[in-house]
Amino acid sequence: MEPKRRVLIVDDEPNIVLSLEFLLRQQGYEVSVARDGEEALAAAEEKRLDLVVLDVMLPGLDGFEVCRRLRERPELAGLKILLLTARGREVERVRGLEEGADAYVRKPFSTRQLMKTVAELLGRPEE
Amino acid sequence: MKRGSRPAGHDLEPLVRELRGSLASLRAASEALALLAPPEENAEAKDLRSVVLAEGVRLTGLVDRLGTAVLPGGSQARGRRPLKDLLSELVRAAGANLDLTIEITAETPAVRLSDGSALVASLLATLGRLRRDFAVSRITVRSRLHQELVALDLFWQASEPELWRLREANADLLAAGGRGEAPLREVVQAMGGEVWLTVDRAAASAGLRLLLPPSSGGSG
Repeated sequence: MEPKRRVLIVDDEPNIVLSLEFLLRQQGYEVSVARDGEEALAAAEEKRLDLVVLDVMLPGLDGFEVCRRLRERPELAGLKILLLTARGREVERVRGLEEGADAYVRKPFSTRQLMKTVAELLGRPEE
Repeated sequence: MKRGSRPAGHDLEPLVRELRGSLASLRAASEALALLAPPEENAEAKDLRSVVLAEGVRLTGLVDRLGTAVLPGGSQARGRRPLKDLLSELVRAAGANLDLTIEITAETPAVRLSDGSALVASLLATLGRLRRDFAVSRITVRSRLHQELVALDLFWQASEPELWRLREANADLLAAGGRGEAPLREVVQAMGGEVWLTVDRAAASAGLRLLLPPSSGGSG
């Protein structure tokens, strides 16, 4: 049996975390949560993650900075990063991709579309 | 742009951001609830749930329209100036006031930027800090069009310890203003752009990268 893919949600908004956690578990992923950038970096160190769903607007280190620091670690080369943002400007999408994100999704989003993007990033068909 | 004089839409941006975040939570929860609905759910409950889902989609469209209407980014006509002139002013002022050499390496795109004078003032304040606190004396500037945005790179050579210091000072460097000038990040974001510090350890260089939308009808 294929091992469960590990996904980390990084968002300080508990209401969105609750739903995303549920939906990702429904899709068969192993899910953990970080509330800020420092927690996310520590989690990336401890867990063998496949994907980080990373909000841009975080207290302390913002999502762009977390993305950059994750990309500085050669041991995390295979890690996929999906940025979420509540700002919706083209410049942020471009910046996110330049900082090393693999995908960029603007809030609010269709969760079906988000799950599809997650599945594509992890190279598996949507369930 | 001095402190306190922001474009009209700028004040509404946090509101739109809050709306986006809240609506995202609402939509995600209602779409998750749909998965939990029992197969034998009665028709009325199903209809009511459909209303919540449909209104979530409709509200998303409305928030997107609101965002387009209020977010800065090229629609303001105020203070539009050719990029070429702004860079010339930056080179001249940096040389005269900061003893800082700026070399422009590539052909400058023929575009105009809104609030260009505020941008030059806050860039000079930031360059002044780089000169004073990090002993940066020579900067190379490269400007180009990148995905319909103006990409402006200002970069310089730095030793490994300096790169680490810069990385740690990153947020403060861009968020602090000069004497009366608004912080660079604030100015750039008010123009609908983004700015961040880049560190390339392999090339022993650091830089400021700015992404700016050209002002509408802003060629020349």
